[in-house]
Amino acid sequence: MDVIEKLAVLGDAARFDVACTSSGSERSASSGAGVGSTVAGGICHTWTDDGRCISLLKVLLTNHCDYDCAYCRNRSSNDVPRAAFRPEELAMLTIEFYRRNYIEGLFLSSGVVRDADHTMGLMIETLRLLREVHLFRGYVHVKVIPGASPEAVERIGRLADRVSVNVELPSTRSLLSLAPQKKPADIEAPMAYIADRRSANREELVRYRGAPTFAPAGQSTQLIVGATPDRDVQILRLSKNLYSRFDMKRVFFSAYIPTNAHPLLPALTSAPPLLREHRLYQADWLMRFYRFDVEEIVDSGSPDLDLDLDPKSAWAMRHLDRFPVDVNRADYETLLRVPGIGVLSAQRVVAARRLGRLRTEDLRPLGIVMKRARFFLTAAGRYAAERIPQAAELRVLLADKCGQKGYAPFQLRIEDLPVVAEGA
Amino acid sequence: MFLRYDDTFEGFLTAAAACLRSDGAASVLRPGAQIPLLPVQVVETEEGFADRLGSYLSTRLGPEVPGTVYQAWLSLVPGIEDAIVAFLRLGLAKRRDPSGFLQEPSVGAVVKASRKVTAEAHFFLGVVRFRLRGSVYLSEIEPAVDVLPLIGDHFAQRFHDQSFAIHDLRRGRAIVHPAEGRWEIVDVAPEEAGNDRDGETVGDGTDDCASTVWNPPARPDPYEAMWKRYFQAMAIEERFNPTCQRSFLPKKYWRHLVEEPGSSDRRVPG
Repeated sequence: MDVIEKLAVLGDAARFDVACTSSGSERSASSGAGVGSTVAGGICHTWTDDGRCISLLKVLLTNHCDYDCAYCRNRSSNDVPRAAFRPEELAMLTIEFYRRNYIEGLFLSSGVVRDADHTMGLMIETLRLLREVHLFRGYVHVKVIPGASPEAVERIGRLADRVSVNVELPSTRSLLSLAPQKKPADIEAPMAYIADRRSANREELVRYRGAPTFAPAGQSTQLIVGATPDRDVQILRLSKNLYSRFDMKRVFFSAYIPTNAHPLLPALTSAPPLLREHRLYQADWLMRFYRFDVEEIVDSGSPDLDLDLDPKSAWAMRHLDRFPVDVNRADYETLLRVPGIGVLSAQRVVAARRLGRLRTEDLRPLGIVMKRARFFLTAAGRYAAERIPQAAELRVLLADKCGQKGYAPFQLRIEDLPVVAEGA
Repeated sequence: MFLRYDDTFEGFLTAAAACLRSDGAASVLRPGAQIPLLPVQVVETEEGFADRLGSYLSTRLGPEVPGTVYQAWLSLVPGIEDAIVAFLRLGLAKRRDPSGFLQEPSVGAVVKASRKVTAEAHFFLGVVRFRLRGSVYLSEIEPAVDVLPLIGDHFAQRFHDQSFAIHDLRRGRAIVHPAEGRWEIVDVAPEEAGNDRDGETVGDGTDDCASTVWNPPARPDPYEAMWKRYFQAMAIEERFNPTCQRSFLPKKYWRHLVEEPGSSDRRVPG
């Protein structure tokens, strides 16, 4: 099989993994031998016809797989075209794409061949060639195969910028029924190893700047949404847990696209829950950047996110007694909770107030989305909307177009992302 | 009074400083701006003035200010010169970086213009496509604003061992970088860049739109075909969404890409 054919098969097989960020690592180019650098904010190189950004060459090393996970297109019992790159072939392809500025680097995952460590060995060899023979200094994100030994994780963490172990199914019950060859411990053990090594490595780097790095861009994971009956509250509690226990940089959500018929899975004709995925990302943002706790967003009483309202508007609708707030007096945390005010515009309000009292007409230039924020703000003694709407009316006014359109894929431009200190 | 400067940033800063020293009634004109009926004074550009003013503003107002001013000036938004003068005047009065005072129209205009320029520059870090011609990597771009001064360092560091050029067809200028050398911006004679620009149309199937005197026809690069194929394979038909694609990657930028957006053949109807 030609390289181009392999690329089509193994790119196609990898495209359902949603993570494609090249952010979190800053490495300047070497003035000596070698090619490449990484940029902390990441760079998108193109956007596919479904509107998703391509930043990295995202491929599987092989889509041959010994596992038979019910939800996966590459499961062993499926009749799909199979291919495998030789490590040298893929290293070469990455370099050549990189030199033409098509990509920021490589995102490598793989089907499981023989066992976890054999597969990891092939991935390690690919990255070793890339780093040590081709002297590649660009970005590398690699998927750790569940069940990989600490030795394999250690080697791959030294070669990669970001490593991730996919949780995929949000509960142990789902995992046992749909992915019988994977055990929860196989997923948790490498995650815990990565988290420990990362914190040790941070100390090493403080003591000695030239210490070898271990996954400097941290670890992330992915959860499949809509394949199993798990509710949003379970998914968000799990992701909170993952952030705090394993120091995750990101928990990605992937709307399940039915590929296999299975009694425990949605019918093949059902549409992927893209709007739900979008709402989960919004909730994730509230937890990471807006200082919300899971239980403020969803709880056992209302276990799923409202599809018509973004989760912050939904929270504000449940707490109308806290509004309106005075934009000239409210502290930063209070501003963050106003629908229509983001991290950036809250910071701008705080900065702009130094010049003098803000009036309602000053708010739009600060980047506040007045369509929503006007119902929750007063400025210089005036309510920002014409009148106070009834709750039912307010709900309609706050509903975003996503609900009507069906969905909107959740994507922010990288330069829009707020810069948040570690552990904030 | 109106002050006219040559088209350099240094010339603009000389004129801006003259405005700041005066009582505030002056206005700065770029070359080619419509000549008002009032007297126009031509400002003599002071050599080395940009550096001196830059370090003054940086210590006095904050390290971000010189960059913000330079980026805003690059935007060529009509009237940005006077907005920059008002922006600096406010900063000097308050003794701090005025960028936070967005309720002031001049600050809003300057910050917006500088964001427009930096966003365009960041975008082109990703969408520059090098085509290999012999041993030289060539790229042609048509950015909305002049991004070359802002992207040269990035490419020169990342690809320090490559000889490359990035040609801005709209402005007839190019970054030229010899392998392991220093990059510079050179003017490219218009006949070399003999390309009509109609912006919106994507190539008509011929590859001619990417050819200049620099690019003699060469053997097709196999990696271009591979990239195209890969790009098509990555689209998920169930998520097909050209509106979203175009909001990130406007169609006017498609013609210089290798990958042919919109070419994925597995879109679902509707």
